[in-house]
Amino acid sequence: MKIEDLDSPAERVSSPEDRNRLVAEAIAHAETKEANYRQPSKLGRRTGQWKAPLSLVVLMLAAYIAVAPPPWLAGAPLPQVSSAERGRGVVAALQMQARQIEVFRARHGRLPRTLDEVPVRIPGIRFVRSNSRVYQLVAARPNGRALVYDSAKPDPQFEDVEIGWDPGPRS
Amino acid sequence: MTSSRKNRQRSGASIGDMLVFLSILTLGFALVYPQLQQRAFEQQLQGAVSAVETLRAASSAFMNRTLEWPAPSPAGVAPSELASVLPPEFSLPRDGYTLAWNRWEIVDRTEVAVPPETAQLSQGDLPRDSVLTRTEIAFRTRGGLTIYSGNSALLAGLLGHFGTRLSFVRDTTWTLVVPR
Repeated sequence: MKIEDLDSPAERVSSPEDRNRLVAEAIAHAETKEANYRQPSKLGRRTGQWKAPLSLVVLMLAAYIAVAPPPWLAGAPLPQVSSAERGRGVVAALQMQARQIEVFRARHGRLPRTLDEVPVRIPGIRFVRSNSRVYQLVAARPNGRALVYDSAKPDPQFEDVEIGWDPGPRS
Repeated sequence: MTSSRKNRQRSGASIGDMLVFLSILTLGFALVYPQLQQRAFEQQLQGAVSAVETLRAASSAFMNRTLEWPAPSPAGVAPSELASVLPPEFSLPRDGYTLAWNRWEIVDRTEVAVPPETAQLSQGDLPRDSVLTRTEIAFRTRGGLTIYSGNSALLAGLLGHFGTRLSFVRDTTWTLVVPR
């Protein structure tokens, strides 16, 4: 396309009256719109009324699900260690600690003065020497009561806990 | 026309719309969260079981080769004997728990009958048909794995997986006695 093919520019220039009229019309239109916006629309207020209660209901539902999720949503509960299983753990720990003391006794011909002398020390176990041959180990059960291992006459439950454990190779 | 109104017209969303959107988003998260939590737990348990199996297999292989368990190592540190056997990316400190290898010594005292001819009994000491015994001491070693974790569900999951015969939970630890 060449420049000669374009329409020639209009030579008509608007009069000042026309321009004033157009400006006045534009201002009047803008003022009308502004007046409309200043007065809240009844329709708009009505359409927004449901949003706040809906949000509140949905938020309450979300809080309820977060605090107490229904079983169909939560799935299987996470496993927990039962009190009996924790009790068995205390028995096993005492038996293992007693084994370490017996190893010390067999090697040194005496009881250790404290558990620090024993190669493996299990935390949370108290060592009490009655005399040079007899000792007690004390640990807390899950219910807070003490469980005592008496080397003079160990309860059968301490031996029972080792059933099935490999005796291990001779060293 | 005020600027806030102009902005609202431009974005097309009011405060009410935002409230509805956020509340629906919260509800969606509340609906999905338990399943995400369950899935994360299952992945963590699976990872822990896999790590225990790896360390147990490596220790057992070492045991079969040398007839002794690897030396105990501090929590989070692999036994030096297993360094060449374990996969290079295998690490004992992990997200949410730490593994440790243990070796416990135990002593067995067994009463062994002494034949009368070696007992050198003098006449009148003991009846002829009595059997003397002497105590024989044998030291043995036992291998074991411990996981330290504050996540009791993980400890319970491990206890459920490996059973209560060879493993037990105490406080924040789960211990597995590794059979030979």
